[in-house]
Amino acid sequence: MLTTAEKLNILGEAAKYDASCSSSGSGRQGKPGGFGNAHMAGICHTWTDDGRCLSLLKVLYSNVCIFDCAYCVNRTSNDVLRATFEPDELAQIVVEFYKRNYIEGLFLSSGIIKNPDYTMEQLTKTVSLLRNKYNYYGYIHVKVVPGTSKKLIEAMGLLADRISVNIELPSKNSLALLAPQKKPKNITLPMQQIKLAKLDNAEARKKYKKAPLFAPAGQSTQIIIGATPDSDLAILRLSEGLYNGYNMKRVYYSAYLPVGKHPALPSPETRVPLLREHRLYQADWLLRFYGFQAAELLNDEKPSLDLELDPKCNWALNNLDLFPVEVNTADYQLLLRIPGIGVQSAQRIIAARKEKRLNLEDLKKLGIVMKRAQYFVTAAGKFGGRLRPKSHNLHTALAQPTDYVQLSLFDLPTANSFLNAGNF
Amino acid sequence: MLLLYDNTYTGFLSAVFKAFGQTKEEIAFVKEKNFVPPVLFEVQQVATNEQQAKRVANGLQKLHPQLPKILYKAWLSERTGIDQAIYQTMRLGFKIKNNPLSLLQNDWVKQTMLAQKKVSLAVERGYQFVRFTKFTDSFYIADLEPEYNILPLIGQHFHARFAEANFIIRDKIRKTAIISNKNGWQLVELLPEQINLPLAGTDEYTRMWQNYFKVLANPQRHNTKLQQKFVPLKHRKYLTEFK
Repeated sequence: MLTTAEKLNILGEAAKYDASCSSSGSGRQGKPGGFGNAHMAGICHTWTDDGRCLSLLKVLYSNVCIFDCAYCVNRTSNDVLRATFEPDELAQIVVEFYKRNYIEGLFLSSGIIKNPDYTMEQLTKTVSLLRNKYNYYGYIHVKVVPGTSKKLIEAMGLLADRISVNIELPSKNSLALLAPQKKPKNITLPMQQIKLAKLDNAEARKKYKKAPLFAPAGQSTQIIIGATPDSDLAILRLSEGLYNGYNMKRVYYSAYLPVGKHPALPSPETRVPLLREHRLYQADWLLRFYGFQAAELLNDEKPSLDLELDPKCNWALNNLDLFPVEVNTADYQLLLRIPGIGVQSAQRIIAARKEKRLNLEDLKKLGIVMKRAQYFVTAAGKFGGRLRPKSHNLHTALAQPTDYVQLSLFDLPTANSFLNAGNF
Repeated sequence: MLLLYDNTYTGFLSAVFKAFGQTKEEIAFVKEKNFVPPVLFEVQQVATNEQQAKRVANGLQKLHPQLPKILYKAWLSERTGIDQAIYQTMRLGFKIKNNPLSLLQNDWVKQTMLAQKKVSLAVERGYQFVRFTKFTDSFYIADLEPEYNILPLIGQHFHARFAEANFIIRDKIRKTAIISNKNGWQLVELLPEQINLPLAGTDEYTRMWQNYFKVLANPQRHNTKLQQKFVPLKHRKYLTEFK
């Protein structure tokens, strides 16, 4: 018999390949007699040795799995120690950790025990214990097992803050090759059901204020990068489809870490494509917050993101006829497209230029990254760049040294807290 | 003229109220605890007045609902010259009859915003890095050594979460503490014997957390430089998982 501590080690380790650990997007309130609540902007409680934030207790309910997906450490043919929690055992860990402020909530996933519905029933029991027996009102994110029935998804949505289904591989071909038991339909159907249930819930809440919340933090998904030959263009198109078609809150990209040998998988010696993952996150941000479309960033002739240069600089270099832009007159959408100007900076420019005509010195004070922006803007008619936009050396001047900073896997912590504080 | 106030924010707002009354002179502010009698300046002691402070706060609120809180945060930074920067920011706001904080091209506003940003980060770290040690099912204590006086800003957050439990969060540097129970929370000064009271020891859940923290890192993505950016060494003293 394994002890609870041993189980937590096995099932924590088995869950570490999931990139998501966000606790934002839900403002669930506590109630008298219970404990916990959810913080709208999310809170990271610590960072592990790989520099990733640890916000939620990320853990599998069980690493027993009937599927044999080649890229997954928990595949049935892999020889690893298996463990399964009891619902109350896991609920107690969450309660103890949460009350010491170690964690912001629970992120519960599982291998497939027996069949999808049986597995989901166990997860539902656990989450239901937390909510109803322990009166816990903190954050809960549950991964839905592909192929779960609609009834169970709808029940889970009423208990959890976020529910999600992982796509894992970006194309049907890749899925058929590496995860033959996973049918694309079993992934997209739950996504569609979550989307519709959420829309119904929004309607119901308009009519009855007390109608219960359905997954207030929405749904997210994860795509593994570099396990298959799928291009960045294919991945970004998929993400775009997910954002538009399923009201997805986030798509996570997870660089493939070799966990086994398979003729179709990269060899265990291959370098983990961390920089590619980073560039995909940058491009993803452009889709969600900057009004870009996948087709503007990449095309069939050039289907991969430039590793030397961020996608926005790259887009600007390919569209030099739009630059330089005068910051005192450009509209918000155009400001957002200037390298070195982000959502916050663009909002600051809009607010600040009502008071006075901005010059280059003012832009620095507003926090615009002039290192990049200098080549693409004029302020009060003045251009301050070291090179003209048409210069051939611009690509080199903009390219950063390769020791990049990995993006935090967290929903825009500073930006969110700023927006929530209503400063701008 | 130098306006001397009693170290409290209400005192500062009372001084601001007084300053708004006299437009002709140069005004400066000083806390009693930092006061050194000057040679050339006229000094006036300001009596702390709740109602006057309230009037200033209400005026700010009308410019922007978050303005009073943001300026309070900036004031808590206790940076040199911050009183003057906040005062000038308020004046600017009342002059343009709008939220002054978006005018970052103004040096006073810039200074104020930088100060409040520092304090906001410290508050965020308060939310993140408080680690309660458990004495009983309903009694917990945590320690912090924050860079700024953040306890007044984080008390409500923890009280809302753990209202059913009794807990104490101590600021070991300023020798103050949040004391919270079912009925509410308050900020208190600590007596010497209360400061040195030891935290609760480890138990099975402490050890489970420490092990879990280790196994969750992916060795193939090892990046302690990035980790240190988010959890600077000076903040690890009370973090259970780094022990």
